[in-house]
Amino acid sequence: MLFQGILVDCFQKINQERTSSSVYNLLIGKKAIQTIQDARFYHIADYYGIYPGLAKDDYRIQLNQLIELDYLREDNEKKLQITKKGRSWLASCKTNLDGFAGAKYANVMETFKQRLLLFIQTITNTSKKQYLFIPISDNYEVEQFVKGFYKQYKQRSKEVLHQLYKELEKALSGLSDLEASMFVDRITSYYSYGSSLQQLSQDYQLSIPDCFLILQKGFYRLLRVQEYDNDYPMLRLFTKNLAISDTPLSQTAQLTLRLLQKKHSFKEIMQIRRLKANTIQDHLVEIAMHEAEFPFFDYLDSAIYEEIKEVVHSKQTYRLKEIKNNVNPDISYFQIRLALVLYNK
Amino acid sequence: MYRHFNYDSFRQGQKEIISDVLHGKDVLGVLPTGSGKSICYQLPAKLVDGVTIVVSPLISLMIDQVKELKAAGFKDVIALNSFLPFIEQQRVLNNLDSYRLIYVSPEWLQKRKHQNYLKQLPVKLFVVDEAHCISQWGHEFRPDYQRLHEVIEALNHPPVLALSATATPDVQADIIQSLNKPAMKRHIYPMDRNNIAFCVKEVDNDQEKLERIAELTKSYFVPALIYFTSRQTAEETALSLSAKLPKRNVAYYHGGMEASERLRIQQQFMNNQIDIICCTSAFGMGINKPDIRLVIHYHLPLQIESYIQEVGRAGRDGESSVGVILYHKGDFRLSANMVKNELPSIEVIDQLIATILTCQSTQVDLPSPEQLHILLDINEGAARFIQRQLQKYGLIRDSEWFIDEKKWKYVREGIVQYLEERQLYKNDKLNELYRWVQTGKCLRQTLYQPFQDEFGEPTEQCCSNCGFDWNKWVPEPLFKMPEASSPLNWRIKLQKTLNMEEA
Ligand SMILES: [Zn+2]
Repeated sequence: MLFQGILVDCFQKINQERTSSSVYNLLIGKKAIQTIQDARFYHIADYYGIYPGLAKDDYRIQLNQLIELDYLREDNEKKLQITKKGRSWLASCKTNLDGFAGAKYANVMETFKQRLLLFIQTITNTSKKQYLFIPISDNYEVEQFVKGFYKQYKQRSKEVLHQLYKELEKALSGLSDLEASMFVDRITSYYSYGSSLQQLSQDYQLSIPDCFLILQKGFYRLLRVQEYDNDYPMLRLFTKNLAISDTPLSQTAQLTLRLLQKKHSFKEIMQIRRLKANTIQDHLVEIAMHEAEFPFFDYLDSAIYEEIKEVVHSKQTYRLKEIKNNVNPDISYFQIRLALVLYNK
Repeated sequence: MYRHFNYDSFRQGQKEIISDVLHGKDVLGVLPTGSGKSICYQLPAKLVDGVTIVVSPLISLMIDQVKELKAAGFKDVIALNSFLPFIEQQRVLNNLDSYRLIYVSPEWLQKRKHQNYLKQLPVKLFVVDEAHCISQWGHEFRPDYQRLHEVIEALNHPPVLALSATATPDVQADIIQSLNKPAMKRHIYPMDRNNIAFCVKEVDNDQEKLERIAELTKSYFVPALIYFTSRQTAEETALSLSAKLPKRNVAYYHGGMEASERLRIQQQFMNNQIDIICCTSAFGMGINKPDIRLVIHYHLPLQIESYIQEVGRAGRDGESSVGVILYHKGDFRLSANMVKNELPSIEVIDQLIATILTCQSTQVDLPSPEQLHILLDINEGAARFIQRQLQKYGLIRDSEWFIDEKKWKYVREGIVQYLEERQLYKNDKLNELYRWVQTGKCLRQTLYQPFQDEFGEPTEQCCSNCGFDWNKWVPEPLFKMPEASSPLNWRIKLQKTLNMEEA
């Protein structure tokens, strides 16, 4: 239900302006400019990267089910559109869909999760004098982090566990009992080895994607409370050295940004980087989305901006092609994209 | 011994093998499944002053063993295989001298560059695990294994230890010949497990298999493995069993699951949080649960050796256990089909070559030979078969294609012949297994006959052909009733999880 709700919500918000694979890219957190831009424009950034392991086939199966249920329908251009039935169904499950913060924690989530879980496994085992266990994560960086962290706290394990309990209890209380219970079942400790997704699915009679997303929701909640509330000093330690920011600039765009900051012109950047104009334009759009300060009006004057804005209003669309057809032919796609970024800032 | 591995004594054969290994001799060790084969090189690896290299055919098994060793405090151990991410591999290769025990896959070892790294090390022991893979007549033949003698030579002949749990006398001779070590010392121990009783039951259909399994698992509260050849059937059976047995914890396990999920299931089984696992042959490698009491085969594997390995996971602690085989008339056809699909047909290979030739003449980019399954819709085993054959004839070299029409014409006949040979061999193995299942003679003796001449007395009952009575089998129940848990109790669960129950 949760997964299906998210899908229907996405298709409602993109309003037939994007293909179904763009929603897939959003959910797996593809680091493509188009995907990141879509997430912003259509206000679905909270779903960005919430389901990294989603298989394309499973995604298709879910969509077909939604079409069968008549919540979604395929239009002539093979784009999915929400039906009336879908709309009222979505309204009835609305509250469940809150609680994700995908784009915000895209860089942090996976590492935070693994650090926390591996630390709990480590400290609950060692505090019971059990030094032989197979770690649930074998990511080198995570292992190093937990090692260092553990060394620092092993003398005070009882105190640490107490504090962890306090923080987890408080944070999870903000979820439903079912969500909290599932979260606890997933944890591996001395007491028990955490449930697999298949087991959660059996125990709670929910689909595997729903179980996965409910767990994700739990971790997003932990990330949020530790950021905004001072009652979570312990949880905050697990985000150490992780840059909480929106989806990062791609490496290649970072390089372009550096050249831009050194006051190189568009032409010069093209020459230095030996890249096509199109590519550099992609970078600029990406940079425009990320940087607080961007010289929009080096690339489009205010008349052009007003004209594009006008079309967005009158046609109620973000679709590039449609905007292009309704503005002065001299205005480029690049300018439209920049204008849209500015419009959404 | 205890100091290193928390074991208090050697099991049969270990001491003899280890002592010869420590004296620098070349050794062939054949020990039954579950007798702690790996100790035979793990202990020497700790004791000798130098590096031990272990060739192991299964990457998942290799990774499991490394994890277990690390968990047991043996830290300077590493697994090298082609799945290691590039950066990680570079990091490891640059620090290779900091490891004592290095597991490698045979494919990885074939690369000259990799051998050069190993040559820099003081290699004091070269271990060939699952050595039956060397032999064409072994059931898991791996052509890369046949080139190990070259590697041994390149490493300047360190002492060699070849180990297997399933090697008939023919296979043993093949191993010694292929490694080019005629003076190898043999330590061969009988395969038969006298605490396992065998019970074959013919049924009419799959439904009846399920009912029989439900009956058995209902009456015996013991850890059980149920083997399937199909992932889907394993999943479905697990779900219907857990519906039928609300008081038991049933899970499934197969190679299609994500590694971390598989690890969870394994560990829960070790912890007795799960008591019944519906699995494929992917389960069990490297599992050291001593108290599995029931190994049920819903589907049979494709040869006797695999059956011996799978059933051998029962009763490693020496307590009385039972291997149950459920089969019906339709099973043979299912197995025969699987055997057929394990090898590619020559038509498929022809088609592949044609595609490659077209791509080459039109300058289209080809995927690398490691990814040839992309070009064809075939399973991994069949793809590997093609790869090895083309490698053997020099049509693939160092991960590059070297194919032209003339060369292909020249080698095609050889490959056709070899394919036929392998197909016949595999069919023979399958027939042998089904003959065994249907035999009227003692199942225990017929099963182990190809491997040994003499048999120990069974500790309890022998087999269904010698008269097996379920009423006389009373293993100790190992499971408590699971606690009922409601989502409302999550706070209590969290307290237990964080060791706060005493608070
Ligand atoms: Zn018998």
